[in-house]
Order: sequence, then structure tokens, then C-alpha cells
Amino acid sequence: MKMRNVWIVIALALETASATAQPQQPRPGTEAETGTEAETGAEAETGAEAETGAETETGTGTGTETEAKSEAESKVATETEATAADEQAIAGELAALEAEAPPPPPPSAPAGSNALNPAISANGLVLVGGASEEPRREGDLDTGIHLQEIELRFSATVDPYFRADLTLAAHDDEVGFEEAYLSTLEIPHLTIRAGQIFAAVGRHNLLHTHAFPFLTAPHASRALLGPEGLRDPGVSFDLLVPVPFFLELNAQVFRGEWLPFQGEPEEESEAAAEEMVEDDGHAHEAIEDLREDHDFVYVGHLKSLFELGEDATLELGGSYAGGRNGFGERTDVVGADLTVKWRPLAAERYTGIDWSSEYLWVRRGGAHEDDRVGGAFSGLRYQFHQRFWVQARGGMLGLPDDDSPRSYRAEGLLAFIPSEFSGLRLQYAYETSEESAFPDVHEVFLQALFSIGPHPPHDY
Amino acid sequence: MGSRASRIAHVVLLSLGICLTLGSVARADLRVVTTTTDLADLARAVGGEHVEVESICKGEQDPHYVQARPSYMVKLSRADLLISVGLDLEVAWLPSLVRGARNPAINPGKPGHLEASRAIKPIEVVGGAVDRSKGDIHPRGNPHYWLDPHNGKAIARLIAARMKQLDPEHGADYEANLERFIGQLDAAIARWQRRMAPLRGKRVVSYHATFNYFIQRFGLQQSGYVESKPGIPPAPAHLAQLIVQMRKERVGTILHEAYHDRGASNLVAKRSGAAVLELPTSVGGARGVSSYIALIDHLVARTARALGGR
Ligand SMILES: [Zn+2]
Repeated sequence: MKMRNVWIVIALALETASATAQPQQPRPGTEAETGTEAETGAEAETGAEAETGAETETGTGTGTETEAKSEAESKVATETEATAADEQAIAGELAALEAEAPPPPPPSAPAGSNALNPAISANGLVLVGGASEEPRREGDLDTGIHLQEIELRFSATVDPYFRADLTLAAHDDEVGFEEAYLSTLEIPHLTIRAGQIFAAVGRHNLLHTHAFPFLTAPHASRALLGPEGLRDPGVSFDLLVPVPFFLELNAQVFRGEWLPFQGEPEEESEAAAEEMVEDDGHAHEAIEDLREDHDFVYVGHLKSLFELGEDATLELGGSYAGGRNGFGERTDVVGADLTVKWRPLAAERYTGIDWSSEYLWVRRGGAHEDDRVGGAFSGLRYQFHQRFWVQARGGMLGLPDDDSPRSYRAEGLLAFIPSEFSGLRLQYAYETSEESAFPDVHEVFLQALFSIGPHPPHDY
Repeated sequence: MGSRASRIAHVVLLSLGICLTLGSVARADLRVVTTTTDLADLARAVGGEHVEVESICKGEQDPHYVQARPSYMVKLSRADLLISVGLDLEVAWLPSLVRGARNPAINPGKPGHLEASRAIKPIEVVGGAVDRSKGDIHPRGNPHYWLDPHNGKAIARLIAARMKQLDPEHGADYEANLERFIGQLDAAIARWQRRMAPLRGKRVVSYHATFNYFIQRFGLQQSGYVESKPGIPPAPAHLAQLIVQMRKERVGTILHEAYHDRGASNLVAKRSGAAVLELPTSVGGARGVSSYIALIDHLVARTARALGGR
């Protein structure tokens, strides 16, 4: 505010100097006729102008009103007719048929050739920065300038029964569908989705890259679930359980070609990777992928949300994913998450705190190394101004205590959000491992993000 | 062991029974969920005893910036009728809530999904090329139309027609309620017109384009906005321009929505010699503003006092 005061004084001085020469431009929709009136500025004139203004305004005002009224009345008339028609139909033998008649067209559908096109939006993420070490695992940030991601989204209702959502993402040279699914619209309490979908394991795994609270996914989830997270062709049943609070149950089936379900040693989790190839790589290479085409991964997820007064919510989630792995035995993935959000209703635009923590644990039957590994992370985000956020997150891998060496990562982030459509985020990260072969890493990266197309949703 | 299991089964059945009974007792003829408290009050006025109405937003909340809390999905999942403001006011949060509600009755295009903006003729429709260099604009027109009481009448008529369609059994009651409400509103409008008549042509500045329908209805003049562009916080150069303009045009009042930060409006007021008039924009947005008529009453009384010096 202080800083702005100084600017105002300077700008004001400049403005006053040039004020007589340059009349102000009113914004569209403003009725100010500044030009002539400002120059004379006499009180008598203002009065006269006000009177004529008032007269014309009354004219247009009533005109608009009559138009609106007649429009509303004609609508009432059509709707009354519709009601009468419905009643007849119900009375008649064609009641059943009539009930299935298509609903009236959506009132808001804009006319024109674009009316039936899907909604298209695009997100871009550009990264500039450096790290003190070479990337250790896939998904680590690398020194230089990168196009972290360009994402195109298409969505539309397919017909009265289905909706389709496609998300095409390009990272570096790879282009692929991050998500692409069909979902049902007409089943009460339940949405069934089929296609390429995110597995409902934990909370972070469900986020698109541009919605990540930090520049990368947490190191624990990248190490445990793989750099791209868990997403695959599958079917998801999302049930809104009819209870007085929010309770959602997801039951999903996937092909599940994912890191925790693979058998090859090369894909072993991060800390042990190099050592294993050196020490007992031979023994592992002998193992074949024992998964068969009819082996699926089954995912169950329960999420609940409670209101803590008017301004805060508590979200609790639990998830499980299980299925036959490449060693021919079962893999279990267990997740638990807790999120608290505080956002005062009367100032939602200006301030808020999110605190989100997650724990993930993977047990791979038949694995020789790292058969049980867990990790956790916890992140805090505080909005202290309409345009600024500060954030911090800490994470660790190797929970609970097990044989594999632990690693820790801490991240701090400052975000500048000029509008809901753009942002600049500066992140510092420090990572350290108990493994002596891995030196500590320091990273500093700046990310620019943008979104074009329809208004981005305020997802919770 | 057996007795314990049966006791558990007993408790489960009992609580299920309570749930079902509660559900059937609380069931009104029409369950209505509105996005804003103003629409809720109009729906209550028209629906009377046959409806149960809940609003997603609270009166003090900025309807542009609502977070899509999953708990709102629970409200929507039980609704027979959803009434929204429309004109893209709720575009950032309502679509995902409607999808998440998994309630086919209120899907877009269904009779259970009513955009109240259908009842009115929007102002400031942006024609031609539109882009976001102009800020987070509302291209289909200014969505803050409920602050014109004549639009309030039109919305009430539209809601009554839709309630009749969804619940024809009580159609006569909805019509009677509507007529009573229109009568009250007409009387109030006459009163408001009398109160505001001497103030025609007076100039005001507002933070956002929230009060434009109100301003237009009562013949006031909108001189400018405190925010640089819709949804974009004020920049110093813009504020300086505004201050100079306000001095020149002798604008004495800044209409300020209670949910916006006061800083910039206070600053402009101080430098231009104007006063900040903090106003509610919805029912429940200030103490005593408990109905739609009370809201307009409040706006008229406070604006008239501020502009007329009485
Ligand atoms: Zn607006």
C-alpha cells in the first residue's frame, strides 16, 4: 500500500499536468460524456445535462422494461403451454413416450457456427532455472530452459447421455493423451467414466501438471508411483454416497502398466536403482514380466469432506490399489491424505490457507529389494494478497523405517498471479539422501504459466 | 457373540429408519437450490410453503470467486430445481459442481436448471471481437442485473412459470404468491423512484460494474471504476486518472462492494474528496438486509443519503 501511494502521487502529478489537454476515455458501458462537460465544468451545465440525461434515460429505461416484460410474458406463455401439453400427455396413453421426449434446448447455447464445437482451452508451462546436480530420476528438473508442458483440453457433451473430456499434453518431444474419457450424465448419484483416466490413489495423483501446487510432483510420489503418476486406460465408477456430508467412493479397474506393478529391476525405486544394477542386476534381469493380459489393477478410493464452520473444510481420503505384479505376486499400494483449507467467505479473492498432507506405501510381493517402501509429504500454501502466494513443502522417502536409505526434499515457492489466467512461480528446492553416492541437490527454477480459452474452473 | 451382532444390526436398521423418516418428513414439493441469496429470496417469495430453498453463496460472498467446495455438490444432488444468475457469472465454479452433483434433474438444458438471466435484457453485451486483454469480462452482458428491481419482477415471473411446470399441482399457489410479491415490489418501486427522483444525473464511481443496473434504473451516471479492468486489481496510473476525472466531474461517492478490498477505494476517496459508500450486493450482505425488497430498500436509502446529503 505504501509503495502504491508513492506511485499514485507521481502518476497523479503527471496526470494533473496533462489533464486539461486530454479528456478521459470512459470505459465501455460507462455513460460519462466527459469531453465537453469536463472542459466547461459549470454547475449550471451539469444541471441542464442531468435533466436531459434523465429524460432520455427514463425513455430508454421504460422501453427496456417493456421489452423485458413482454419477453418474460411470452416465456411464461410458452411455459404455460408446455405445462398444459405435459398434462394432456400424462393423461393420455402416450405418457411413457412423452416422458422420454428430449428436453428443451439449453437456454444459454450461443447461436452461430461455433455453437456445437467443444470448449477448447490450452495451458502452457515454461521453466527456466538450474540445478546443482544432473537429474537423478525421470521427472527431475534439468538446468536450462524447458517447455515443461503444453496442454490442450477439449470438452463437450456428446449427446443427452454422455460427455467427453480430452486432454492432450506435450512434454518435450512426447505428445499423448493425459486424460481422454467418456462420462455418463444421466445416472443419479453415479458417474461412470471410461477411457484414459487418473487412478484415484491419494490426492496429488489426480492433478494435471498445470494444477500442481509446486513445480513438480512430490519426490516421494514420483519415486513410489513413477514419474508420470498412475493413469491408464480403465473404467471408473464414481459414487456420491447419499449422506448429509460429502462422501465419494471411487471403484476403478485399470490395465495398470505402472511402476509398482512391474517386475524389471531397472525400474526399481529411486534410491536403490544404481546400486542394484551394479550389485545384483543379473539376478533380477532373469525375472520375466509375469503379468498376463487378464491381470488388472483394482483401485478403491474414499473421500470425505466436512465443513469446519463457514470458512474452513477438512478433507480426508483413503485409497488402495492392488493387483498381480511382474513378479507374479501381488502389489498393494495404500494411500492416506488429509487436507485442511481455510478461506474466509467474505474475502475469498484475497486470502486463504491450504494445508495438504499425504502418505503412500507400496508393498511388492516377490520383489528382492524395496519390497516395502513408503513416503510422505506435506505442503502449506498461504495467500497473503490478491496476487501473491507463499508456499512450502517437505517430503521424505523411506517411511516407515526400513532397509532402503531415506531421502528428503524441501521446497519453497513464491507465486505471483496477475490474473486467473497467468502466473509466475519461483521455487527453490533442496534434496538430500542418506545414500552417500548421491550428493545434495539445490535447485532454483522460475515457471511461467498461462491459460487461454474458457474461464479456468475454481477446483477445490 | 450372536447377541452383539444382532445389537449392531438393530442399531444399523434403526439409524437407517431414522434417515428414511427424516428424509420423507423434510421433503418439500420442490427442493430449490440457488447460486445467490437474492434468487433464493425470490424463489421463497414465489414458492411459499411448497418449496425448500437453499443458496450456495452467502450474502457477503463475491459470486465471481466462489470455490467449488464438494459440500455444495451434496446440496445440488438433492435439488429438483437449480436457479443460477447466468451470463457467465458462475462460470468458474457452477459447471463442475453440477457435474459433481450427479443429479440428472439439474443438468444444463433440463427443466430443473434455470438461468434467471433469461428473464431480463442484459446491458453491456460485448459485441465483436472479445479478448481477455480487457480483463475478466462478461461477454454476454453485465450479470449483476438483480439490483434493478424491475428485473427482480421479471425473475420472479420466470421462477413462478418454472415452478408451475415442475409442480403443476400447486400452480395456482405459485401464481397467487407471484401476484402478491409483484404487488409488494411495485409499491416499493414507486417509493424508491420517489426517493431517487431528485438525484437523477448525479455521478458515481464504483469498484466493479456491480451497480450498473441500479444506477441506470434510478438515472444516476456511472463515471468510472476503481478496478483497472474487470477482475484486475487497480494500477496506480489508472487510479490517478480516475482521481483527476472525479475531481473534474465532482464525483462525491464511490460505491464499493463489501467483499472487495477497501484500500484502493479509500485512497481514491481521500485524494478526490469523495466518500466511500460500502454497500451489500446481495441479500444477507449487511445487517438487516434479509430479503430482496430489504436489499433494494437498503441500497436506495444509503445511496440517496450519500448523494442527496439528507
Ligand atoms: Zn462482474
